[in-house]
Amino acid sequence: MTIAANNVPVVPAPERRRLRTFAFDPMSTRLSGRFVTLDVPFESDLTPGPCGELVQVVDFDATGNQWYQPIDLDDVRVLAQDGLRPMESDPRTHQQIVYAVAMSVIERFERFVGRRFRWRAERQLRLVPHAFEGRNAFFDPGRRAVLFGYYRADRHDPGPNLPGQVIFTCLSSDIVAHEVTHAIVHRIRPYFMEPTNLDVLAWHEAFADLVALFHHFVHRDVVVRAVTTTAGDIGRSDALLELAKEFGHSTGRGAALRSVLGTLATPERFEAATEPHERGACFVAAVFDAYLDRYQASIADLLRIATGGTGVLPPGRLHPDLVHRVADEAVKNADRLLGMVVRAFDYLPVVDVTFGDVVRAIVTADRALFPDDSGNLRGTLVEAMRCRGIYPESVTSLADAALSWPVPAGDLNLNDPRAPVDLLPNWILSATHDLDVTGSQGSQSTVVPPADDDDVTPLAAPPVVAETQSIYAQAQRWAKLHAYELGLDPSPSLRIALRGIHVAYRRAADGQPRPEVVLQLTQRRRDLEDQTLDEHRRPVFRAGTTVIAGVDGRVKFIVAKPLPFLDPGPPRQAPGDQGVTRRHHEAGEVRLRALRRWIDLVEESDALSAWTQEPALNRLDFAALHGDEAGRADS
Amino acid sequence: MTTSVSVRMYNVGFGDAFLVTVDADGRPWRMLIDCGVHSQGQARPIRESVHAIIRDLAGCSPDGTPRLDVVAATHRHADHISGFALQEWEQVEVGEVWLPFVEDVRDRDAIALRQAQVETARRLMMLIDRRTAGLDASAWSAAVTEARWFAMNSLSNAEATDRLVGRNGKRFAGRHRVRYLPRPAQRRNAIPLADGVVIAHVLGPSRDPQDLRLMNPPKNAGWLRLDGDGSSLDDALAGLPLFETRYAVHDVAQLPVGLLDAHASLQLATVTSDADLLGAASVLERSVNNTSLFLVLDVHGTRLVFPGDAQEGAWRHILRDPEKVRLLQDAAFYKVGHHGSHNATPKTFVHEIWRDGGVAMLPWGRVKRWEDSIPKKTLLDALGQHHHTVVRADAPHAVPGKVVVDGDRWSQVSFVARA
Repeated sequence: MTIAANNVPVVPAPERRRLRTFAFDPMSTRLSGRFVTLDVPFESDLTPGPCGELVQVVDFDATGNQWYQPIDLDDVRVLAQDGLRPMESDPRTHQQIVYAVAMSVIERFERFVGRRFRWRAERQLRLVPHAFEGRNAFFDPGRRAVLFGYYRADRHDPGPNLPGQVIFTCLSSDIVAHEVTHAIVHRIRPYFMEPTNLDVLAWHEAFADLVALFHHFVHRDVVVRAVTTTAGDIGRSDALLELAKEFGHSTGRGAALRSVLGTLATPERFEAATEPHERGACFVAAVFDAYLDRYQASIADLLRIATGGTGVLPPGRLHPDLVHRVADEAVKNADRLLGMVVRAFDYLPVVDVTFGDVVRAIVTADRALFPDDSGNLRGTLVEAMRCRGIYPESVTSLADAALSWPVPAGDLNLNDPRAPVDLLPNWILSATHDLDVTGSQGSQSTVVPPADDDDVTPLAAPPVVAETQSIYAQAQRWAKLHAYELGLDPSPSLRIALRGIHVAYRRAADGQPRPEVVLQLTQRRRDLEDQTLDEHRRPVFRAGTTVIAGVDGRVKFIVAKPLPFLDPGPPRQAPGDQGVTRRHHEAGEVRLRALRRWIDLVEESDALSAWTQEPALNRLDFAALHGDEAGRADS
Repeated sequence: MTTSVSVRMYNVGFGDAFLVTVDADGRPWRMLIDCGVHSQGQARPIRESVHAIIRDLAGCSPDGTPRLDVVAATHRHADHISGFALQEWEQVEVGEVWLPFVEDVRDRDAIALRQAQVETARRLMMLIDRRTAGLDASAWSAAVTEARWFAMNSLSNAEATDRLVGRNGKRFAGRHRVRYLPRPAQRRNAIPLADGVVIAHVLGPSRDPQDLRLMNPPKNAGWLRLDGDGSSLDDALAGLPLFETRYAVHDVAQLPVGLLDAHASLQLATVTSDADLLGAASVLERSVNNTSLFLVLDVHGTRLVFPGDAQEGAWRHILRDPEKVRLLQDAAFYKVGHHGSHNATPKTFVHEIWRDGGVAMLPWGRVKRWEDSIPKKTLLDALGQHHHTVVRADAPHAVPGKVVVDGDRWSQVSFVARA
């Protein structure tokens, strides 16, 4: 439905749409009397649902077999009041909330990652606000959907809710943000859904929590209130630092679902944590340690100015002017820190990620943009991670240079005349087009990658371009030519696939954008998998390499997760090899052993393993994970 | 002096029934380890097997009275004790009954654990009944059906347990002594029997608080809490409408086509899966398995290993104790744990600890749903590699000088122990 344009001359469509949500769930809004307003891009072609370019809200309740009336956000009565006032009793406001939070999270992600965000093959994410009855909400990659449950609050321990009242998980901004972030991560790194080590799903959870928590800082008035009530000590602010309060209280926990308040910055918790949410929470806590550290440092001068040089605040409330200046710092630091983590995404391996890899990716990405680290932000974050036991295993020190990903030994260039990857004009131009919100979309936005036979469930959409002519084929040829250097196997029997290609423009310390090309290459190794199991059901073994290059094609970094080569050959004498082949091969052997040990461990610890041939690894998915989390007794 | 030792495995189906006979001087000593079958995997009615056991006992008794020195019930699962529910046992004289300590109503470690297991099984059954309410059994999902088997296996064995402890009017021929094992004092778990000819080493279940956690039942089935007072089970909305009817769409044709298309591809009807119930039920099954009595019978150095259904975790405390490992390594006989399932026989036991050339008996009967996974093929292959003679209950075949069979009723392996 398009809004009527009755004015002459025509008033251009607004750029932003403002929509009200709870702050951040009905329980908290009831206790505080406050709502918040999210400011999201104005989609001109929004239809009832809401159904836009990126998300589609489908309000069908499977348990009750019932459709609910879809909201039309372009109704002037809705537009004129920043969306409907959120109400638990009106499902249309539920639709409005999931739409608003999802759009806001996606936009924020775009901002930090330096490029337009699109779902694979331009297929929207579906949000189902009342999908089923249950204390759970989860992202389901197979359905391309986030499914939200509803349930009755605990009868005996409902916290500040009515015993037995109906709680809607879709009304919790935190839960929506968390689940949509899972979908975003899945879009950029689909193989992070394959839990090939203890950290893979934990990283999914950590990142989803991190985005949800930092989303609190989007609301400046919430930050201002937190600064006011804590007299600047926002490390004590539950409004900022706790997740999913209503969910936590209504399920008998007596507390928010997760919180970064007051945990000890020691490694023991991380070392003992095996459950993904718990393990991820350690990472989130470390980021907030660093955040609070930087925040305190950045307001120190303000406090000195306000206190005649002592920096010691008198009892009572802060001056409103000071509150606003401090809140500015709180928001700025939140953006900077979240930006650091989000930017790292392009620098992560394609498969088998560990928290150590995350630390290295953060450092490498940040160093490229802020070589001086003048505020010591990077150093603070690395130190906060170390304190909580999170650091890469095979680095010589925690210095920037040691933590950065290795640079390729020789001259490696995507424009290798023997097998060039033709980046210009198509990809770079197209990405530039995409960045201009007022112009037309880039030509490559709609290029669909070919279905990948090596995926357990290949993407259904047909390729738009024949694989042989596309950039996918060019990248394959290039990767075969340089396979050993990339940590991939050059054997003709082993296919190398381009899983994704992006051009990103990230803003550096000097204020200029730094264009970069990121390629994700993967190679399934059927020969190393468990041959006694069906090839469609067994755990998949993949090598994967992220290639980060300049727009001139020069490769800057290689992030390899190799597996042993079929034929490692004699130590290669090729110019520039410098033992790279052997190192990849050896790293591959270590990784293969770890992978097999991990699969055995998962198999042994799963009670169903005894009864079925289905590998236990296949049972680790988000529905099961979040269901378990929801019912998990606090320990 | 030589002593003959024999182990007879009755072919009950998917279940255990082992008769051990030790004869040093013409006064045989007999122990029955388990007698039960899984409801889905019966080779024959359990009554037939019980009759056969009693007949065999009577046949070798000088006065014709069937007699057992010891009955050991490794754990409370139906496939190990269901046979004891039968009244026919009232003809049999039993000296003593051995049970895992978790069954001891006076043992403080045991009370909470057993109650939790029983209560969890009951609540799981409630949930399963609710999910299958009004549905014909043929319409149940495979997961829910299997979950029900697991819950059933842990439930409703009261008549058998009553007989084993001699309460509620259930008994054997006379009064019998009940021992709950292992005892807290480690040194009292080597029990001399048959005038000292047999030493029974009770290696498990562990009483270590760390290990006891392996026996804890699941706390939840998906989002439904199974612990606490179970109130979350009564929290279902039971079809109550979520919103006033004016918000409901009565004519689906009015909806935008895009929404209807999305709905069709989402297949939301299958969102509520039964995997959560099955997951919880399998954890419960394993918890009860891990309460298994783990026995090594030692007759002058000829050792017979009966691990019950102890699964992976429950072996750990044994494998880390060098003295216990020594008892296992030169065993002449191993009762394959948990019907040959994937994680009831540790790889290290087969590949590193147990010396080659022994005898393994596999109590197994066909349950269609599990036939591809139990027994685990790699386990059978590994036993073969180490030159063990594997005797399967479902496929009895004689091995001259070693294994005798009686049709498909039982297989028996014999050893000679020298003092």
